[in-house]
Amino acid sequence: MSILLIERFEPKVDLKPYLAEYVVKVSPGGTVLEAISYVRERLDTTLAIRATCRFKNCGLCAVTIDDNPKISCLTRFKSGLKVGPLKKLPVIKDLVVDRRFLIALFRTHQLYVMGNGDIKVTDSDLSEKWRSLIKCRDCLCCLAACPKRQGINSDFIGPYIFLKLALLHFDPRDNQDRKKQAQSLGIENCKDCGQCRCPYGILIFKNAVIPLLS
Amino acid sequence: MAAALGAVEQGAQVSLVCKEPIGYGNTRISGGIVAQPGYFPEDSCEKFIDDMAKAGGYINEPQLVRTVAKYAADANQMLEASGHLFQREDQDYAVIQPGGHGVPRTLTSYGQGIQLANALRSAVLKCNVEIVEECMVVELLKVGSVVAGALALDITTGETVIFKAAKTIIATGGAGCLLYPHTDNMLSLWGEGYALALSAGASLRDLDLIQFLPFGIVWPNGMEGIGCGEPGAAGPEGVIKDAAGQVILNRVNTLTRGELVSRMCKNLLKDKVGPHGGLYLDPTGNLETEAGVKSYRQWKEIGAYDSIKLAYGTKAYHFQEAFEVLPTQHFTLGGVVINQTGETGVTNLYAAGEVTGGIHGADRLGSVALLECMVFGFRAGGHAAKKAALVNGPDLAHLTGPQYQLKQYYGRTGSYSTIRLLKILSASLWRYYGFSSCSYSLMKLKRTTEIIKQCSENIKTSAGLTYNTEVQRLLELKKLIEVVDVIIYSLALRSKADKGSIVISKNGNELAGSLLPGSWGDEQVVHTSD
Repeated sequence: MSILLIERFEPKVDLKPYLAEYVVKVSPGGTVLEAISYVRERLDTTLAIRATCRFKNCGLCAVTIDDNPKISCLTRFKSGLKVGPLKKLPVIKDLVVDRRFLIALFRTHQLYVMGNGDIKVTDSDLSEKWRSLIKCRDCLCCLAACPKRQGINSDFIGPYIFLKLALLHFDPRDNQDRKKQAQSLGIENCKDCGQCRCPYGILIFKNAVIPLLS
Repeated sequence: MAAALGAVEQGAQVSLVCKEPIGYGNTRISGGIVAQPGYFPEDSCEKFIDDMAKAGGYINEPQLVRTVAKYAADANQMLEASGHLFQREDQDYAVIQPGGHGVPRTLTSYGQGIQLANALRSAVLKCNVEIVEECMVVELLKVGSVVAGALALDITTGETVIFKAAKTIIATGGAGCLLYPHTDNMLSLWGEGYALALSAGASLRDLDLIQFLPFGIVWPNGMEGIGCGEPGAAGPEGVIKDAAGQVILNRVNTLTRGELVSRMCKNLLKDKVGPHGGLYLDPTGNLETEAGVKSYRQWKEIGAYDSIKLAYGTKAYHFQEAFEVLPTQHFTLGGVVINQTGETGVTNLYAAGEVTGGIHGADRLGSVALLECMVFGFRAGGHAAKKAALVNGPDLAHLTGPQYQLKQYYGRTGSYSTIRLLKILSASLWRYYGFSSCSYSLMKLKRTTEIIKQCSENIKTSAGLTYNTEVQRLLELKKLIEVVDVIIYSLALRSKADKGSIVISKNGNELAGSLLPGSWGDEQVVHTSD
């Protein structure tokens, strides 16, 4: 038996977040998601989590594990870990953060291919940087880890949108000036930082921020 | 999402109601491969139709198969116009030949299914579609015999939402979680689309038929059911062994999914299984041949073995040791009966995608799932939009009674946990229906379902409205019980027939079933329980 600490918080009910301790049974080599699921299925069915694919594809089970944003289905469990919701994002309940702002974000900043959809893009038209950036699972860990974002109401938009803009910048079909767009959104803030972290191994600073800055 | 795009193209106002955040259905876990019949001169729509019919044991619906073939190129073109990128070498598509296809005709995607889902999401966001995320449809609303919208639960707020619609399209995906955790599907797929359609008056076809992937992870618990490879991923030297180390299957990579699963299942019912009930995939011989090493590198490159690394460690990942595997549920073959434009036979109600039945018959060719989603999504959306322009919006003013207030499900003080009941029901389904069924196992499954049904009337739920998973699971459980009733009924009918499709509808509160003979003429073959 092992210990898992979970930060619980229901904004409409609780004055502030609190840590709850659970004794969990996790398989040898099991993941943090297995431990969280054990709590939800056997110990406290009121615990709110968002997880759906169970292995790397959806990115929805991203949480804060011992103060670092991580994908819980890809992180091995060990006793005493502390798990909470992603930081700097609004909490709906427990480990579930509000992602509904993404729709407005995509629409406001036109984060989709604008231009000639009839171009036949061949393999040689696509750069290594583009191939790296399409690994993004929209887990939002980069937003939670960004040192330039101060919190939920930060004026700084953060690396997630710059990654999406870079993806379009490298897409031969897109005809918008994504560099100019990134500048207007404050990419200069990223210039001397480079502390973006992606649990899927995307080099956000190298492959997205620098190309948009140059 | 394809249905929404099809409807928008015809000028309709669309609300897209998603149980998960938008774009998080099974497309996201797919390989992003989509068939395009007739792309090369040596191929044709007729050859593709033959392949689908053969794979489906000739119990698929010919008109639906022909529709998929006829509109495949248009659907893929629309997908590209929506922003998706298929892989091309020079100007030609890069194609592969999944098992069961007579010729290479399957397009591949950059970034697999995630990019395909993201492209559709972007296309929908680009349009003026109202997107309602994390909202679960609980009931289709009817005025007389006509569907007029849907009653839904906003999972985030706990509020009841009523959608009024001239036309409604069900695109809720399959029911992978029936056998949870023995599934590689997204965990939101509890099959409520089938129950919604049945209650509204639609028929369900072959709901007992499911497709397995041969290799699923068995351990650790949290990864149970995650896929770890197609037959081809075993490599030319991969063999299946029992727990005693005896080779029981050779040339694994030459078999189709269905053939391999069928042969594995026969051995799973014997006593020489691993500690988690599985068999052993021994791929170590691949490291000793050039072809084996080449195959290993190709499959590794596309991430086919990633789950092995996390679950079983680096030795298994590098093919240096055998590892335990068990078939895992991948696709629900049966579903809502539709015609060539996705109409269900219930006025104003359409269906598209995995929730429908009859397209694949008894088994599905790889790369046709996404294709049929696109073909029937676009077609159903387009047809619904054209017809919607001809009817007035429904009057739902009468929907004010307590049965339309989902708050009744919060703060219940019964004895049972819905999450626990769901686990018991899915475990029973795995045990009594997963790989084989007989009259005894059907009787056991029926009894378990009846007990779960009784317990579901005595449920304990918390009162908080915000993201209340207990209430969500209760609503899913109620739908799942209806689905299981149909499966049991279908299995019982199938045991009395040696061929054909089983069609179930609701007559009042009772189920009524019939056997539909195949319509492929002399080609029709006997369908077996394999």
